[in-house]
Amino acid sequence: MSNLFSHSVLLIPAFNEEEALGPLLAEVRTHCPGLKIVVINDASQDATSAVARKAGAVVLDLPVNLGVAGAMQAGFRWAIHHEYTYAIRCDSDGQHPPASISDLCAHMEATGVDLVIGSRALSENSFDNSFLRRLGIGYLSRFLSLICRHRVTDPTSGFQMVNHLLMYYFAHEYPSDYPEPESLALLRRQGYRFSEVAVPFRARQGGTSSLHGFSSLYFAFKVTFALLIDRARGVDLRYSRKELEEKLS
Amino acid sequence: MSPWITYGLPGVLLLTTAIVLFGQTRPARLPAMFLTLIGILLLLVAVFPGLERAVLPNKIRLFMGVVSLTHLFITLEAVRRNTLKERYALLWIGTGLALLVFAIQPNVIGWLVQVTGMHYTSAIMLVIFSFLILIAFHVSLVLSQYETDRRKLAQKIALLEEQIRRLEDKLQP
Repeated sequence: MSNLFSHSVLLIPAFNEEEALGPLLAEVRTHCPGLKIVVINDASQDATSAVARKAGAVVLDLPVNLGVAGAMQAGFRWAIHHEYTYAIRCDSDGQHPPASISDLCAHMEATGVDLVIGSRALSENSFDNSFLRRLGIGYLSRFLSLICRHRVTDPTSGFQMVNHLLMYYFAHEYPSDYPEPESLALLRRQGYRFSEVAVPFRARQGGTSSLHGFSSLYFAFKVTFALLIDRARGVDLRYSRKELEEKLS
Repeated sequence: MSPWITYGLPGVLLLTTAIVLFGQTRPARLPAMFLTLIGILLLLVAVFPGLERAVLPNKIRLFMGVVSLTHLFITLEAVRRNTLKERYALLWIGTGLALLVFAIQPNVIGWLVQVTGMHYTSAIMLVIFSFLILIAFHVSLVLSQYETDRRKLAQKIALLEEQIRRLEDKLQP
């Protein structure tokens, strides 16, 4: 376990999270000693950057707001430049429990897949809220499972761990609109494997979900559209699993 | 309505604007001359109402001609002053040229009129509309490319800044 920590980097995209970020970083320190932390400050207007630096994290300050996908990509680039083998993504609002990072690592080590996703749907105490939200997410996970021919229970989970192949791929190409569901479909087509592991999510410490009520249905519709268009794209041979395995070995 | 109101008034207005343009500390000579020309034409029609009757069947063509010339002039002037890049001007110039051709040679648009059963004016509007959609699409394409570039630049800046900070820390312990 601990040897995985030393080869891994924890990427935390943060936008105006000065309150939640401090406690989160402290928690990471206690649960994952030796894990490198990189906070990608997505042009926050508050003290996010200072809080992260004070906690001893590496901070990437984006000069303009790029959204989660653009921030993550900056993190992946940093990780490649510093030759890390694994990258873990964790949201800054405290939803993803740092205590479960070791679960992701263990699963990664045990299965040897390219991407491990922490799924709140698989865990016992998923406190999932409104009916409309469950409907939207439930539909999306079925649709994604169908497209991927692989069971997906939590299509919007941002609690993920990728190996060096996907790190390289994502550093060059990362779906910018709906990174989580879209990247899953993309990965299957490119020959990568992923697997889910149960993680008990917590209530967010600050901010609100972008998905509630009817907007989660609209989200499901938009993602379906994006996924259908994505189906029409061919395999990008530059970044197929086989190609990258040869290139990066 | 009296031709003095329909033609004379706009003509006088244009001439006044032209005089103002000439009188500036940095006179805009070309636009002013263009306005003077149109102003004089309008005044001529106001003075000799017979002129209007002579061009009556071709009024829309005359109008389109003036519009297309103005349009071409503005576009080319913007390119000349480097406020508009050539590759973005191409579609605009295409629009202007198409309008000019329709004004000079209405037969060109004749087949469209024949096929769709539209009037000359509607056919021209259709062509203008198509051009506008093309231009809007072109702008969307360019915008998407710019967004990609912007993302790459922002990421690069963040990475470089972090690198600089690390090197600085190394230099002064």
